[in-house]
Parts: sequence; C-alpha cells; structure tokens
Amino acid sequence: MQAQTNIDNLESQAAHEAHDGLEIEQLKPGQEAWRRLKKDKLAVAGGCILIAVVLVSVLAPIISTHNPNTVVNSNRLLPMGTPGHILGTDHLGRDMLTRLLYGGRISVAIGFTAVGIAMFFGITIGLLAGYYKGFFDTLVMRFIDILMAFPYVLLAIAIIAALGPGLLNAMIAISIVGIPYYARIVRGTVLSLREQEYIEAQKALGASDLRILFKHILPNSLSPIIVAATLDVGWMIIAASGMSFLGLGAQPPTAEWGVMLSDGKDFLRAAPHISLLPGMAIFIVVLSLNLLGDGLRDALDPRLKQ
Amino acid sequence: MRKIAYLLALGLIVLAAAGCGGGGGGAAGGDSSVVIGIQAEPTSLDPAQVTDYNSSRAAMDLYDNLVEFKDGSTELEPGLAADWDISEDGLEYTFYLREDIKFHDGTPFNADAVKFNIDRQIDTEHPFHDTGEFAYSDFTFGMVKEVQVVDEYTVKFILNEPFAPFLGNIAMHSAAMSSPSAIEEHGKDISQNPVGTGPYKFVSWEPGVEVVLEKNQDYWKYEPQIDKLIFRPIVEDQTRLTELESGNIDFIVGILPDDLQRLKDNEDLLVAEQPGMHTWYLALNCQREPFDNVKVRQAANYAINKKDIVDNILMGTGVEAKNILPPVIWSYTEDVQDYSYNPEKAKELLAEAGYEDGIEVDFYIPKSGSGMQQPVSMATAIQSDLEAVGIKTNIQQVEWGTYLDKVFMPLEENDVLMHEMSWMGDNGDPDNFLYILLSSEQWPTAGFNEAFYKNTEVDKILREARTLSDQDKRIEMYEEAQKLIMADSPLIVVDHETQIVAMKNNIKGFELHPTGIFRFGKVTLE
Repeated sequence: MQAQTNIDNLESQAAHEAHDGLEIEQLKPGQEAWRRLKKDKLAVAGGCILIAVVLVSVLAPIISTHNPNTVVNSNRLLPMGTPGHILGTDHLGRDMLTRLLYGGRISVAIGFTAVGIAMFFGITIGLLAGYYKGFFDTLVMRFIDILMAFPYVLLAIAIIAALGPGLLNAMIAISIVGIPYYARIVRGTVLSLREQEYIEAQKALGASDLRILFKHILPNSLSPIIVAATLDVGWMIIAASGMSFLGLGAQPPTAEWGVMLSDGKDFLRAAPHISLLPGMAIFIVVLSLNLLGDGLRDALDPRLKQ
Repeated sequence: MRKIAYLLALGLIVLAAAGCGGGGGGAAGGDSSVVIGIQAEPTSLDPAQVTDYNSSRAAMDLYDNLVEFKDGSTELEPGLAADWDISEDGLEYTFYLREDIKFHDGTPFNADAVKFNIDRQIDTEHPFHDTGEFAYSDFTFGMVKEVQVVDEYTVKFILNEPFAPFLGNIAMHSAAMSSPSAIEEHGKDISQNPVGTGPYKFVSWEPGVEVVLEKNQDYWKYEPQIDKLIFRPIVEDQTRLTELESGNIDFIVGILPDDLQRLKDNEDLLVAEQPGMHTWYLALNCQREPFDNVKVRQAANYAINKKDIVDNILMGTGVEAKNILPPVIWSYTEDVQDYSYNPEKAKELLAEAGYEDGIEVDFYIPKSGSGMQQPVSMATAIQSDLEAVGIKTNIQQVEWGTYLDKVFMPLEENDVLMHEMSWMGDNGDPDNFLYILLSSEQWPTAGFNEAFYKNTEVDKILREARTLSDQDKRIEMYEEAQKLIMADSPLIVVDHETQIVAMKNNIKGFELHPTGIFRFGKVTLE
C-alpha cells in the first residue's frame, strides 16, 4: 500500500513536470486554473449571471406571489410595466415575470440534469472503450458513430416519438443525443493516457483495472470534460426549449421558456413581449454558460499558461 | 478577441434569422390578377380527391356541379343540371343537363361525362378507379346503387335507400365534374392537370410556390372579370399577414384573433366575415370511466366558461355554442339544456356522481389542425376551468396526423378519455353533423362518433330522419334529437368559428360561403 501511495505521488509530480517544465511554485492544478479563471472578466461575468439566474429561479415563490398557471382571461396581453405585472401578462392573463422565473427552474434543471445523464453514460462508454480497445471498442464506437450520423434534432424527435411527448421524455431524448459527444472526447483522451508510463507502472504494480480507470485515468481526463459540459448545458437548454417549442417537451400549462416562446409566436405583432422575454432569458443563460465555458477552457488548458 | 468574434457571429445569426421569410412580389403587370395567400400547399386539384380547404379553395373555381349551393347559403340552385326530378319513393333522382357546355379542353359535357365522374369514384372495376384516392366517395355516393345514362343530356341516379340530404351531396366538391378525356389522358397526374367547366382555367402549379388559374372567356354562366388568380401557400400566419399589409399579396385566410382589430382599422383593407358550418367541441368517451356517468359529463360542461374563451381567446372570431348544430344550419334550436358557466353546479354534480375527491384524466390535444382554431390556448383555459371544480387534466399534445389516428381508434384499442376536435359541415344538412358525430352506427372506424356515444332513442331518430323527404317532419325530429343529445352531454360544444378573410379594398363583390370554398367568378377589381 505504501508503494502504491508513493507511486501516486510520483505520478502526479511527473504529470506536473511534463506539463509545466520546471516550475518552482507548487500550486495544485485546480488552484492554478481558479487563479486564471478569476482574471478572465467575461468568464466571471458569465458565472455571476448564472448564479443569479439559479438563485432567482429557486426563490421564485418568494419573489412572485402569483400562480404561474392560473388563467385570468380578463387580464390577457397586459403590456410590460403594468402595476402588479411588471413584465406584463401572456395571452391567457398569466403573469410573465412569474412564468419566467418558474420557467427558469425547469430550463436550468433540465440543462444540468440532461448533461449529467449524458456525461455519466458518455464517460462510462468512453472510458471502457478507450481502455479495453479491441472488439468492445469497435462495437460500441460504431454504434456511437451511428448516433452521431443522425441530425441531432431529428434523432431527439424520433426518440420522443417513441417515448411519447412530455418534459421527462424530452430530457431523456436530448440526453441520449448528447452521449456520443462525451464518449468521443473521453475515449480520445483515454487512448493517449493509457500509453503513459505512470499507467504502465500501475499495471506493473498490479493495480486493478477499476483502480487505474477511476483513480488515475478519469481525473486526468477531466478538464476537457468540464469544458465540454459547461458549453453543453447551454446547448441542452436550447434543445429542450426547442422540443417544447415543437410541442414535444413540456406540456401546458407548465411554464417553460420554449413553450412560452411558442405561445407568443401567434401574438408577435399584438404583444411581442410574450415571446421576446423567454427568448431573451434563453439567450442570457446560454450566453453566460458559453462565456463561462470559454473561460474554463482557457483556464484549464496548460498550453495557454503564461 | 475570439469572444468578440463569437458575439459578432451570434449577432449575425440573429440578423439572418430576422431577414428570412419575406420575398415574393406582387402581380405581373398588364393582366389584372389577385394573389391569394393560403395556409399550406394544396394536395390535389382533382375535386374527387380534395380533402382540405387549401386544396378546395385553389381548385373549386375550375369546376361546376350538377346542383350548386346559392351564394352565401346552403340552399340549392341549378348548376350544370337545369332541372331535376325526384321519384315518389325517394330512390331515383333524374337530372336534365344543360346543353352545349364544354370542358376547358373542348370535351363536351353530357350524361356520359356525369356517369364517368361518379363511376370513377364508386365502381372499383372502373378503368380509371385507380387514378386517385377518393376519401369522400363513400360519404358522398355511398348510397348510390347505379348511375344510368338515359339520353345524351339526361342522367339518372338510383339509390339503395331513400337519402334526404342527397341533393346537398351532389353540390359538394367531391361531386364536381371533371373532363373525362383529361382523366383518360393524364391518369394519376390529373391532380396536377385539372380540367373542369368552371369560370377559371388551370395554367400552372409550381409546388411550394404557386397555383395559377386564368379566366375562362367562354364560361357558360357569365364572364369572369379577373385575368389571373394566383394561390400562394404561406404557412406562417404572421408572414402571410405581413405580406398582405406590405401589399405583396391581395387576399389572405387564417387571421389570428389578436390581429383582427388591426386589420379592420386598416383603411386599405377589407375584412369579410361569415358564420361558418363549424363546431369546436370536447369529446368525452361515454363508454369509459369516469365519463360513462352522465353527471360527470354534465359537470365538466358546466365547469367550462365558454363565453370567456370566445371573448378573450378567440376575440370574437367565433360565437359561443349552445348546441352541436351551428346556427346557420336549418333545424337549429336553442331549446336544449343550457350549460352556461356554473362551477357550483359542476361541483354538486361531481359530488352526486361520487367523485367528491376529484378526477384526474389525460386530455389529448393537437398542436394545430384544420378547424382547431387555437387548440393549445383553448385547452389551457379549459384545463384551468376544470381544475377549479376538481377535474385535474394532464394535457398531452400530439402531432395532427398521429392525433387523428389515435382518437379514431376502435373502442377496444382507444384509451383517449377526453380530447378536442372540430367538425366542418359539408352539405349543409343537419344529418351531416348529428348522424355522423353521434349515431352509434358511426363509432370509429366506421365514422366520426369519437365520443362513443350511444343512445338508442337518438339512434332511431337519426336513422329515420335521413331517409325522410318531408322537410317539416325532419326539422321536428332533429329538434327532438338535439334535446336528447344535449341532455346527455357527450360533447362539450365550445364555439362555432366565424370564417374570416382579409383583402385589399380594390377587390369588390367577394362573398364568403358557409362551405368555406371560395368563389372568385363574379369578383371584380377596381
């Protein structure tokens, strides 16, 4: 056991030196990345916006006392700035601010959950395929290729057609569509890592495959996954909204940004705020995720170190 | 730097998206023309194969019928047949045709042409039966046993049983007269090469772009005044509206409720309205729990605020329904059970039925569909109303094609308890609403009784009324049937849609017809 720990230490040092050359200052890679991320103003802005969105969504019932689903037809299409309805009401007299906040809960939750599911399966497949190679790799990766060859929206629609429309099914569909992305990234990284000396050293010491995979290979392939996942959350939010826009995702009366956008499309001339506001909301959240993802990529890329 | 480029690219995408759509120009100079924006690509211009408004509106000015609906009503007047006789037993209809009428391709119109057109649809042995899918043939001619040519200008229809609405069927689009020689020449391609006797002749059809018709100088009834009619499919409602407002096209259908007032206020435009033969309803499955209990059906009916939906969602593009028949159809009566909004009564009825703790059901709706008006908004309002009395509904949106398959499954396979639907009349007869939607002989897949309603007394009345020729007796029977049906509340009727079109104000003399088909023959341009 002692030998094992020593090897672990040696390995992390080796990895460090291979990356950094002969750096004297001994910062852990995480700290180093955090330091660089903090300097990136756009990324910080993105992160702040994201945190703010998550906060107001979670606090929706406190911020607004309206019920997001109660139809009050006599209040329909009130413009922005109406007392009691700061952002106006939609075509069924429901408060826009309330629906935006509740919609944010769903959109953000779906984005992160879908990425989580896609990451879990994608990483597992990628790790196993890259590490064991051979027949398993060929079989699994050709299947992944088939998934990737489909236009992603078409594939998602086909999956929903099989499962039936609904928020949960839409989330499953876009998660499945997202799996190949992670599987590919992870497999590529694993293929190069498994040939490294420190892995060979682990094998020579008799470490189990599981230990090698999860203790040594996975941590070392995390940084591209983190970047990909951050950028992907935005994509998932757009995809989920798209499915809802087409009537395949969230069902009425659920407040969801895609549904709200779709509802508003018939009132573009009479009441543009119904579709503009959820559109803006999607835009802001996705933009903030992209800024953050961009910043993370720069921060985690050792080649960009000054 | 990369981020700025990224933002720039985003901005460009937004601009590009905004710039999409549009395009299309006005009429070519010289000839007078009217460009009509329709909602989707026509599927066929062969009247025997037409099943939707976009096709019938582009096609029907090419054709005439033996008997025709009068302008603005479903009363009948002579068309290609100058006169007709009906035998005492109601089994033989003899039509005396006008002479010297020619199809656009020069083929003479005569009794043989009539027989050809009908036999092509009903006789599976007919050499040209395979030239199309005749979805309406059973509805229109199912009761026809035989068509006999008596002489060159006399033709006789022999029926299996007396069928009172038969003359109305003869005035329907599926009974319009096509040129037999054109069908012989084009075979299956007759859909794209239509030839009739009507006020306009077919010129060209460029799929996805436009259908062009030109006036028939030799029309037998009068001389059409517009040189060209151009039908252009524009799918997005807002785009079609913008095209009209910016003057690129002259005439549009499919006006959204919230745009109506603005169009009416626009001095350059005219808006035409007409109460249609249309009913929008919720169908409740009368054979399954909980809607097999009449009290639950009535409770749901009382719980829904139809007036609110008509005033605030449809914005006056429909009238509140009191009955399954639309008011424009004869025998309509308001002397039926009144289901005005009454949530208290709804709660009482639910409690009496033993559902004090509430009910939860799936509520199927389409995203859009022919005659469905605002399916999602209306369903959401209905959902909110029902929830207030303790009926919780889970909305399930299904794409229109799949939706129709699903709700018209036979009872054993049908798990839909509640869904929305609409019906548009074809021949102006009450039989076309009541028998088709509510006779137990019409349970899917035989017909459209998708509520699986069965009341033996109603069945008997509807069956008998369609065979009688005594109009007064029929009115009496249909009034009785309406009372019985509304008391049972198998369908919750919400509204009757008003047909609305908007056009430039230089178009004179256009009148909407209850059948929804356009007639440009007598329209003039200033």
